[in-house]
Amino acid sequence: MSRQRSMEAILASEYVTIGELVRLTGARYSTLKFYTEEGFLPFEQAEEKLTRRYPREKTVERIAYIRSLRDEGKTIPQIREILREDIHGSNR
Amino acid sequence: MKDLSVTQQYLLCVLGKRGKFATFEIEKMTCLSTAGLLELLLDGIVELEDKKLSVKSALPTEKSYLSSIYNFIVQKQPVKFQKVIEYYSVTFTDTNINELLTAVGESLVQKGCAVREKGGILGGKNVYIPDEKELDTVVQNIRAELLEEGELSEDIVALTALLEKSGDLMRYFSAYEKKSIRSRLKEIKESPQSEMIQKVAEYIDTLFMMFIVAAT
Repeated sequence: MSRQRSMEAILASEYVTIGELVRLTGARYSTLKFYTEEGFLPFEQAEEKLTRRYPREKTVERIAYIRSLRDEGKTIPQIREILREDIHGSNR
Repeated sequence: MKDLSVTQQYLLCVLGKRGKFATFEIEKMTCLSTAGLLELLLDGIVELEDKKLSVKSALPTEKSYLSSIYNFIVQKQPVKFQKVIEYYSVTFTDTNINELLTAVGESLVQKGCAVREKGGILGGKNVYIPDEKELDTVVQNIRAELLEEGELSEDIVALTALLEKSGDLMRYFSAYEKKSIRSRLKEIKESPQSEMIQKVAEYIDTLFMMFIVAAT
């Protein structure tokens, strides 16, 4: 059991937890959970029941990208399709 | 989200839209003092030996909102829990607890997490209206740790336990979620790897019990 990390430590870290993503992006937990389950946010997990670790920079960028798509009025199925094309294309 | 301590997060969660809680809400007052004492213990600023508290290191400037608790321990150390508790509860006025509430409230204002306004019955009292976005981030952070698999931080366990004790957990979690949170906390508490969390739970239980005993 450890202490909660400061924002400074989180910003210097390569990997972050979903809770830290909440703190970094201001996104709601349920939203990030949904994005994770949809496969929008890739993560690493050493074993089942262990904490999921998200690559900080890439994930924060991905969340901002999804938000911009939502602002454009894209639906979740459309976003899913766009992300799939991006992954196959530019590997965003 | 700004870096907020357990005490700051706790106050932000219990203030409500009117930015205050009534002096008869003894559980909230008790938990606010408990949060402050717990924060000093978790940060290693104060230590606990043979049920007595003493100061281990100087109070960092950024934690000056806890100076009333810290200074009391400095003056009386080694001091029993009971003495600290009496300082905040067994008095004829609510001056001491208000001093702590104001200090933590002002620290929230400085961080941009609350707004100071005039409130109370005659409008002569300072109230601290929480910033909704900051409050939501605190709540979402609790959800993200408690409703996920994996390790929990001591801060979140302490905060959740305090919110539970003061009856504020229901405000942010559904009955269904609360059930799974309780079972998660129980599972963690019983895990042999969670020695620290058992200590945290013990601190909370003991401190809370002492406050209740002292206040009745």
